[in-house]
Amino acid sequence: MRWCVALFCLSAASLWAADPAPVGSPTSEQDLSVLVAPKEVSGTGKKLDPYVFTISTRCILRLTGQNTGVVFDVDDAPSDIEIIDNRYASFSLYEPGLYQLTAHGGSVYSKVWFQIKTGTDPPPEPGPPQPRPDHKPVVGKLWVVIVKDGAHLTQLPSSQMQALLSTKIRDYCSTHCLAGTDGKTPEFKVYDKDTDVSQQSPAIQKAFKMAVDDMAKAGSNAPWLTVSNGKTGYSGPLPLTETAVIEKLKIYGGP
Amino acid sequence: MPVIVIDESNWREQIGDHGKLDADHPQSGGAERLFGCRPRVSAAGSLKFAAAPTFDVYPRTEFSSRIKDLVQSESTLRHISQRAGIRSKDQANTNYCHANSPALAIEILRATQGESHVVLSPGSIGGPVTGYRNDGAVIEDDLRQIVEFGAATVDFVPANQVSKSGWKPGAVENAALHKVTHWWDLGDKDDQMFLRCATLVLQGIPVCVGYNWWSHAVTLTGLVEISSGKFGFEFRNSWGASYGDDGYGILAEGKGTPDSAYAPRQATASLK
Repeated sequence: MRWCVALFCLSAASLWAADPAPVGSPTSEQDLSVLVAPKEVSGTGKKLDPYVFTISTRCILRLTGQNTGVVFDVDDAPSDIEIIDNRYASFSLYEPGLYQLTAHGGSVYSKVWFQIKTGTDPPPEPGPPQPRPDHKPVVGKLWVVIVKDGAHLTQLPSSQMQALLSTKIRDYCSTHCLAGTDGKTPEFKVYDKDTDVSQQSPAIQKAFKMAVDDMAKAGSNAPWLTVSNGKTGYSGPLPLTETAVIEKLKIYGGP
Repeated sequence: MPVIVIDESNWREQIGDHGKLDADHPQSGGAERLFGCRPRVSAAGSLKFAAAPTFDVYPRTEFSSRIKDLVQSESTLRHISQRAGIRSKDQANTNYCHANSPALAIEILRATQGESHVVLSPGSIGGPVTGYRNDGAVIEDDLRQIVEFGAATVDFVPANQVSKSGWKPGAVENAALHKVTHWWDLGDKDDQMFLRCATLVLQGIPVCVGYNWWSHAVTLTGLVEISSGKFGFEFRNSWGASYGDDGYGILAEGKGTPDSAYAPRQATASLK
């Protein structure tokens, strides 16, 4: 399995494909924004020529908008959308198919079409850390690493800052994370992005590297969450609230 | 336990007549208290290991809501310390407040990072800094010691060890596991100092501070709203759990704005 991150950029320039407005949504489609796909993605985003992803059936698509107040939504998709702030969002799609993305901005909206195709998975090199035979679960099965940029914490909303320090998240990790190499400390870490983790467990080192690399690819200063249960996981922006972080962790670590 | 709020009206109660508090002084916590924090000597930026701050500060108008968010979710540094089992330090009859403050700060920082809890020995810092004498120092000297050599746990060096005779074999190697790799030097006292310190404690970063009026160093652990629109720092002293509320007190903004301040940003990522 491979986690893929694709970047879109939104610019307030032209119109997306014209489609009927969703029921109960704003009725006026205007020059809200347009998706500019990365080079490796084909298509134009129109219904008859959707953006096509062949990289994997399991993708994390990251969207960036310049307009404040833009809310993204995916129609009829098994998606998991997180609005990071008013400017961008990330969501996951777990099934191949043709999807319609709607960006809502006040009384206007825009649409774009994209298709997820089953493709050949790349080598699993950056995949989630695997349990070592001698490292049996003691209290749980998760590794959780949060990477932050200490010089940019002031820009975080209060709720996300609170999530970084949350004792509830730490309590959850105490009962759902693997024990570290000392046999008792949960494999839950919050590090600055330039921390030397060479003395940490191999799994934490791997998860930390993944978070830092993905953060750099996304060009983000936002805190980054990497969670793995050894089989599947998540590497993406830290959800905005303590509750959202715990919900995310529960996907991989159970209730 | 009573909450101590130090302000312009009562700050002299924290200071003895002869450079120390006798054991029967109401603020002494039952032990003779010495003061050992010397005034900041260097100008900002002279410390190569402690960078000048590059972060923006929170506007004062956000303080109330940010305090409320952290308190309601039990995510203040005090909550994190309590959860990790970090106890109040007691410098007893040493002058090592300058070492107790950063030792406590590293323990707190390790807790925020998710490292295991270790009890660090101020004696392993203050001893080398003072030439193994019961003497005061500027906080910078202790920081340099921590950056270069780290702080050993009390398993290797007793908490208030002054001479080197009490150092056990392996203490130097153990100290190397507990360094701080990045500090912020918050500079000289100015009209932004309070905001810088307030911003950092709201971001979960403990701040080691020195007060010239007190000749004392303590660790800032939080921001509190004393009354509507008036703020102060929650701090943890190194005078044992009998001081204030489990070692915690409050410094109102005027007296609480430090003359020197240093914020540890990253402790060594180690499990031991």
